Amino acid sequence: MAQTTGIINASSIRVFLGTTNDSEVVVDHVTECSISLSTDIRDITTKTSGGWREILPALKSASLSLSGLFAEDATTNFNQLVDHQIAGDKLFVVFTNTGSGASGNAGDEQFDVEGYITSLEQTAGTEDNVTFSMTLEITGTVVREVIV
Amino acid sequence: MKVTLQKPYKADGFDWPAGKVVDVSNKFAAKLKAGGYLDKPEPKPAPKAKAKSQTPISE
Repeated sequence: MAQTTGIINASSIRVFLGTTNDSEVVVDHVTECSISLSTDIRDITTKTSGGWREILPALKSASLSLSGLFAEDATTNFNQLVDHQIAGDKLFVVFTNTGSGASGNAGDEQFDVEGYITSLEQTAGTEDNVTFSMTLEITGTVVREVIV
Repeated sequence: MKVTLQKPYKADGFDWPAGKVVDVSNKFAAKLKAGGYLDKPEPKPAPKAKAKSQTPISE
């Protein structure tokens, strides 16, 4: 497959995770997902900066969030995620574009990261879907790679 | 990608029976394929029919 042309349909972006590398399973019934990278800054402004702040990059960090619909019998959903959080499992996560097919679209790029669940919430209203949301803080390098 | 296991998979924290359909990452699919979990088992050869004993034709 070749790299996708044009604007990507957000529904094609999927999150796969597992407790060992290269053994990731899709998180079922996800309705929204995001990955966020940030870079702290070091202020190096001095008297010679001409009245403008000068900076250099410092510590980089990243987190991944998703939310979805709860299903008791799913392969990977809230029940499995809460087990991982309680156990303190390190999770291996792929944030990828499956394109119009069911697998990662070869030629596109994906995130391949590791991290720990730091926040997990299940919400149940009245006569509505039971939902869940999760935040995972990423540890180590954020890898951006071409899907093969 | 969605794959169908052809034999039970008990590793990586999973305990899946044969026939289970799972949606896995490309790398996991490759790993399962390499381990022979996605290959359909070879069909067993049909049992050979017993050869009938030939009665000598009397002249």
